[in-house]
Amino acid sequence: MKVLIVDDSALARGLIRRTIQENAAGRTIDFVEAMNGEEALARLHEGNIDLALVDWNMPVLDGLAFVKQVRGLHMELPIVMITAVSDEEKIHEACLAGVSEYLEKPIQGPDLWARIKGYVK
Amino acid sequence: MPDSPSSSAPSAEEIIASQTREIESLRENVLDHEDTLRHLESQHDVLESFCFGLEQEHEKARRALETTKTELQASYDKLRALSDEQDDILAHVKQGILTIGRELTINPGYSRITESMFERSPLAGIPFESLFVGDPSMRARIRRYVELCFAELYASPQVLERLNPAKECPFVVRRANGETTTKLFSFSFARIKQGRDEAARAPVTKLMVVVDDRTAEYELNRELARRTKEHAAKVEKAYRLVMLPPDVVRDFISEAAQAIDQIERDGVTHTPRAMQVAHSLKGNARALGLDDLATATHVVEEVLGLRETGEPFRAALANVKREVADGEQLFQRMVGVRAALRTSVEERAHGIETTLRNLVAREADGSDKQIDFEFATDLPKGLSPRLLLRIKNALVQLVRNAIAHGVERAPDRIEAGKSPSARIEVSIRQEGAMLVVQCRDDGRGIDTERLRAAAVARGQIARDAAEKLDDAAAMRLVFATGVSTQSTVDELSGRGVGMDVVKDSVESSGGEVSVTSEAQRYTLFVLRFPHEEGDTPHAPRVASNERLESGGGERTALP
Repeated sequence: MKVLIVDDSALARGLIRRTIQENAAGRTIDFVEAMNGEEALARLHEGNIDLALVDWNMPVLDGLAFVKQVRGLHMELPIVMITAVSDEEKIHEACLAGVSEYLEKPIQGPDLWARIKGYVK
Repeated sequence: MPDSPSSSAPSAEEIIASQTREIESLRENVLDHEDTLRHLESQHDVLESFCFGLEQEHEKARRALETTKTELQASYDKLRALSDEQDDILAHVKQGILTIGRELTINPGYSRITESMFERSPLAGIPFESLFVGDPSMRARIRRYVELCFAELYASPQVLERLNPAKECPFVVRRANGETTTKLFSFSFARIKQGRDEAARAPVTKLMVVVDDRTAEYELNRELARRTKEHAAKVEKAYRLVMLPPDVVRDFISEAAQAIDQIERDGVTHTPRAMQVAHSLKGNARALGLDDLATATHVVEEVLGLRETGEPFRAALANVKREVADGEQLFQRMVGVRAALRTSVEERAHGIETTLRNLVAREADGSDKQIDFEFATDLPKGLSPRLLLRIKNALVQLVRNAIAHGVERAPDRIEAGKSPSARIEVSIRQEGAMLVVQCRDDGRGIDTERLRAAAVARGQIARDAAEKLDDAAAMRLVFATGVSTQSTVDELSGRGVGMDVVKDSVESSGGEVSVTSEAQRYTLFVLRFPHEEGDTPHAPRVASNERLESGGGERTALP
């Protein structure tokens, strides 16, 4: 499967990638990375993305706007929002925009895996 | 010139020709009509077959209608049954179950218990969030959450469950009379979609809400937390006590008891003096690290300072007493704990000692009997646990009896010219191949006359036989089965609960029991057990009359 990781922090992208690699032993997973929502849309259009993990706060096009655009194009792929935002209303907003799952920062490996393992094939 | 015949009258030829034309024309007409007729006939045939078709169609339609009607009835019946079943479930289920429609109001079908949970009726038609009367911000959160649940989402049920703001929710119930109570409810929400198709993004038609009343569970947890805290405080106290030398604690406890007496006596009449005593008790408690006691004593001081010598004083002093009693109890237990660190036989002996000391403390507490308890032992090594258990059980009976029936109340003792404190002495010693267990009290002794009367009254022995018994034999009636049960006999004989059990237990292990007594002076029970349990007993010995000697073991007195 192909996983798209969208975060402006290389550190965060690396952590997410390693967490998935360590837990998804035996499965072949390709990673595609993007620094912001706009790049992510471009990667998405190149095709075959099965799962996207997206930061909320990013320059150019933030995570929420990205989700809205993806759903506007009727793309059904699961999108997991990873965010420092823990405000209930904000999370509602993300759900209404079409996220499949959310996870609060700081990223903890086991928590991250627990939230996304259902989507990793 | 002559008229032509044709102009004056038609010639026959002309007539014939004209008629022929007419005939021709008529024939054509006939032919035409025949054509028409044929056409009409064929039209008729077509119509006729069409009509037949129509009739058949009609018949088919009628039959189809019939079938549909039957099917409709069946569906209706099924629906009715389902609805009845649902009503049944809603009437009997023990959970609050309701559904919310897209207008965010409560639908008419909800479980019967729901109304009593919310103490509100009827619920149908009211906005769901308005149930949360106690908390406006909760109302807003619930509304937002319910709206979210109705939206088309990509998020899984697990995500929604995490966002549920009412998973565990203090819920204020406002009654008609204006009273409010707070319960603890747990709400869970399930999105119901149209049809059986569980398509992730199918529109949600209603939300099912399940409500559990967790109030009892919550209170249980709170009680548990309170007890845990209380327990932790006790452990803390025990820790402080264990760090102190036992003599210091012992002295402190007895000083504290005296101080409490004095405060109680002087609190109202000599308040300043009582305050001084309280102050010094507080200082000592603080010095030993017994902070709770220090705090409780401080309150007494304050209350006295405010001249609150009524109920507040009594309540404050009761707290001090409780603290001291707690400390004393802990200390007693620690005596047992310290003893448990010795060798195994000693350990068991102290197990017996601790049990008996606790028994004495418990039984004497609240009665107006004062008891000094002494315990002496030099248990040999290698005793079987079973034998030790027998000894312990027997002693529990003997000591309980001594407290209940042997020793007198303090005022009675004073009247009889004795010290107000009664004395119960227990010893376990080795004597050759026997273990000798003694229990002696300095109480009123056994009244053999009453014992005889009780045994006769119970039909244990004939009156003349009873009268012939000498005192030693009469005294053994205390072990008789009937005499040893229940209070009526107790009152008569003043002795006896469980004595038969003691005797049976000792004799079944090859031992023997004896009892001696002198009126107003003492009662002494002596039990002899063979050393090794199950061994044949050695030659029977004469019941021992000897007084308790202070054995080689340690002697301790209750503080």
